Amino acid sequence: MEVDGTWNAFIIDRTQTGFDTSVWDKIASTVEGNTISLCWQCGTCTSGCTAREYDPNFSPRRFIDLARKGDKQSLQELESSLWRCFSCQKCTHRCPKGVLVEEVVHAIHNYALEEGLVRKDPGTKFDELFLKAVMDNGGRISELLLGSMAAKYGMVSLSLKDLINVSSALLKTGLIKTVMNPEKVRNWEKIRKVLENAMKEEIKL
Amino acid sequence: MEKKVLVIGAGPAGLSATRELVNMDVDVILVEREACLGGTPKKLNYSLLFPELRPASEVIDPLIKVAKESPRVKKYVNSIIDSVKESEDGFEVSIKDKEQKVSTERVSAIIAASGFEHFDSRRKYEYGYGLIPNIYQISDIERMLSENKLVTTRGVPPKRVAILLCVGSRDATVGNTYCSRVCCAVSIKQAMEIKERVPDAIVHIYYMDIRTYGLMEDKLYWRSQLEHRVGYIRGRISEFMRGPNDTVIIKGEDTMNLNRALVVPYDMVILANGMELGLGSAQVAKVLGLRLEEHGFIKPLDPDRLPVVSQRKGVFLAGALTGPKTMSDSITEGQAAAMKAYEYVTKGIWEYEEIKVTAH
Repeated sequence: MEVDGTWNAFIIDRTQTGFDTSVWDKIASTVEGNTISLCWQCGTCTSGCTAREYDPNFSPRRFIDLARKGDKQSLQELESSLWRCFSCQKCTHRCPKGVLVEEVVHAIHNYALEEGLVRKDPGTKFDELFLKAVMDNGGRISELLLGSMAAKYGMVSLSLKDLINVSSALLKTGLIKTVMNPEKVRNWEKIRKVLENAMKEEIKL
Repeated sequence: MEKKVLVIGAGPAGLSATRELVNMDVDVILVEREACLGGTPKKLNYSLLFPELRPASEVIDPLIKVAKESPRVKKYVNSIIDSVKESEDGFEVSIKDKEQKVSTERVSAIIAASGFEHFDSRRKYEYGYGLIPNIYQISDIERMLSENKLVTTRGVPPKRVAILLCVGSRDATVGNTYCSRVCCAVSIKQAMEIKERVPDAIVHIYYMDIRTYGLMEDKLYWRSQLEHRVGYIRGRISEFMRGPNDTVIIKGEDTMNLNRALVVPYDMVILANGMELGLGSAQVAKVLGLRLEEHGFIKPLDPDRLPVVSQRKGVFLAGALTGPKTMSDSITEGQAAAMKAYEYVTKGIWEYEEIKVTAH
């Protein structure tokens, strides 16, 4: 302990104040994230991680550490990595402590989304578009509808050449009919109500 | 004195119990599953012992000598305990050898010291032990060191060595949630031995926690860094791949430097496999009717007050069958069990689990 305070006159304050200890509790109380407390930071998950091959900032071990410490600032800085899990389950399978790593990472991401720490990522956006395309088209996917929706968000990366190749294959096989006029589910209006109710309940969870 | 004690297992614990009993003029029946006396240290040909770095034979050979030469010790090698029946003044034990020949002995007390088995790393398939060349276990390296044959499959001494700790210990995926206590110390000792033989070798130890407890801290953990430049990397390797020229490529994470993913080639990888009760001791426990505790080791009557006394009257425990132990711990327990057995066969002293409180 420094008694006279001489050094404090010019040393920048290093006290950490931004840590929110409620983050751990909140994630641990979700269905997906309840194994977060088992983690002991050994690094098995990150060492074999598939997503890490493409994104050096993707580290399940670090996400868990930051969430447990409540370091929201750092989670925010990892916005472009947090959502990139492939769900290959290698980490969950190998974890020596039985942490369901893949689920915990998703729980952390969900938390960050709910708290507004991160913007909606392309993965979540695409999931929503996909769901919307299915619901709008009557229970089945419509590639044309989904493609046009995704194009609006700037997600389509097909070149003209790709389009020609794809459509010529569709024309040859006759699958073009299904693309232009996709099938629908019978009694869709009834099923739609059931699905919408189920989705509402899921959101409550 | 015609009282006899049966000692199961001729490892450090069993042999030290035998020596103490012989010193107190008690006859000993010594049963050993393997062909030679000395237990796992002799069978796997341990090199140096931590932390003093003295040859294992210096410790174990005098014990073997007593058992071999004393006229009070009757030895059964290549033999196991087949059945145990209670008789009026002790036990009637039938001992079966490899040719299924059964001999019967009458004894007053039994000391079970059948020890442990090393974890078989093949159960962690992602580590590639037995599939990828140049991946060894610490239990294999001991023999290579003591026979001075520390070479890779290409016949040359390794220049880059990685040691991975906690293989089969502290791992819920294989059901072993305990720490095996000795592997950290053994691995560091092996790292120092490798550096002494191949001075320009690079040795990295991948750890989660270093547990060189007690007096081993400075003799192993500090010394290995001060004098031998052994590298410590905090992070658990999750998979091994076969590289060119029989190298092994590891995938790890340096958890101290947050954004460092590791893909590193090594000439030799050593897995620090832990300890388990093993089939031999499981069979002994079954024959003697002893209960196991939650980690799969044999449960003493009271782990604090009576660590060498079993739950069955007249049966005593010594060594690594009650949990992972160093060789010196096993020798200590052998001596303790001999004392308890001596009290039991001469004075009939048997303490029960319940602590009886008497009023003053």
